[in-house]
Amino acid sequence: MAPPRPCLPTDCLFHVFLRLNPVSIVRCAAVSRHWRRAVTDNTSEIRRHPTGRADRCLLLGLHHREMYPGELLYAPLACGDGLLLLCRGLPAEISVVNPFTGFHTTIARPGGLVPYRYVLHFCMAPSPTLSRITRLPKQCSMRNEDVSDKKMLMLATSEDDRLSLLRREEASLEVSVWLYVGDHGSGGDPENSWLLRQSIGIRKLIEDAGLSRFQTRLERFCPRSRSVILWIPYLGLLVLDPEGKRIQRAADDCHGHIWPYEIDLTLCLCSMKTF
Amino acid sequence: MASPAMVTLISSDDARFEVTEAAATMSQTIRHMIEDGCTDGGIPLPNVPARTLAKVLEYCNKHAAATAAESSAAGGAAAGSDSGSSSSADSAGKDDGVDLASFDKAFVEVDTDTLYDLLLAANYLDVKTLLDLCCQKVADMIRGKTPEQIRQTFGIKNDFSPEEEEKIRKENQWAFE
Repeated sequence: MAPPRPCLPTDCLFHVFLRLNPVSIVRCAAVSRHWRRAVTDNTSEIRRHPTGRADRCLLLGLHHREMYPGELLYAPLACGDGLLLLCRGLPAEISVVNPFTGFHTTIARPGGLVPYRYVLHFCMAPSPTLSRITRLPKQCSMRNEDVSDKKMLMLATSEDDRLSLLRREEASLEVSVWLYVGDHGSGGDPENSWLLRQSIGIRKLIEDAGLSRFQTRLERFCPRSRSVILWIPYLGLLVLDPEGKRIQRAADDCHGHIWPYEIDLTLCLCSMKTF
Repeated sequence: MASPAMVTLISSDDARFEVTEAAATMSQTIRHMIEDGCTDGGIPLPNVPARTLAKVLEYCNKHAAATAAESSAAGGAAAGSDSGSSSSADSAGKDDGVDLASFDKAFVEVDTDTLYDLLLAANYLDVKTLLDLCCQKVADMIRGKTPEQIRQTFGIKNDFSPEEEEKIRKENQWAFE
């Protein structure tokens, strides 16, 4: 039998981890105590290192909506920093949930405000009571049911943590991404507050995938990987890559009861137990 | 043409290696020792055995020679040599690039022990391109494997208890499916 091999030092392993995808990194943390420490000690560097690429991979999490307790259905509103923002139908109540730790808190919902010309923006950390209203760009105004039922408009967070807005154009099959750049208070001119950042034509992709006869719906924007998640009834979830070059099936349709979100790799690594 | 400056490197098991300064200074560790004037009587490398040092120097010699060929080709072109020779130097440079890539690929086609030793030596000697090469190779060997397969590949002992393993698996279930 060969003599036991010396351990690779933590800094060597760190250089190796920079070249791995998130799944492999998490699996490496399950190899031995030494390897696990090499992951947990370098969590923030693994994510932020300029040559690392783990953070650009989409880690798609899927929640089943029924998993939340209570007699009334919780609908997800937004996610960020590993937290989910959920809305309960009646009485109007908004909760912040961390699905990994089970943390759960309720925050006040400011009135009954979700009129069609405005979106409600929640700043979850550090104070969950902060909320404010931002006026939408004129091009993005639409009726309530277009937002709530058809999901043609979606509020998201950009990769640099700024407010962003996604709009799906029904006629041209295009997804446009707007970035909130101005902060002039409620009296500000919305035309200068929003910047059209990207317009992704998905008609060709949809047609090539043989999906043109289906209705697509915006489901989520994943800021770290900049992927857009679309939902097609009876088919399920599709992932659109940030360059708009590829569309890929991510999950089957569970009658609309699944809700996709982006898993925060840093949070996964940070919350690892050490042994 | 003056003969290139040479330095002597001494491995952990006292083997002596004569190499050009250009090859030796691909290692930042050795470069700093030369800059600090610690070269009299040879440079001791107490962390690197002869077998590994020979392999590392094979890499450094090859890359230092390629870098020298490249810069002399570039220098010749800049000095206004006739068009025929400069284009031949150009194509030679490109061949070197392809050659070097295949050399690198073959260089890390070694058993796991040797790869470990190379990685440790590249880390200690701070030869960045070799460290990148070895890390990439290790990463390629890890990708797509389960923790148990990774342990087998690298001969690592599982020092988690079954309960701990279960906890680890539950913690990030998505990575193990």
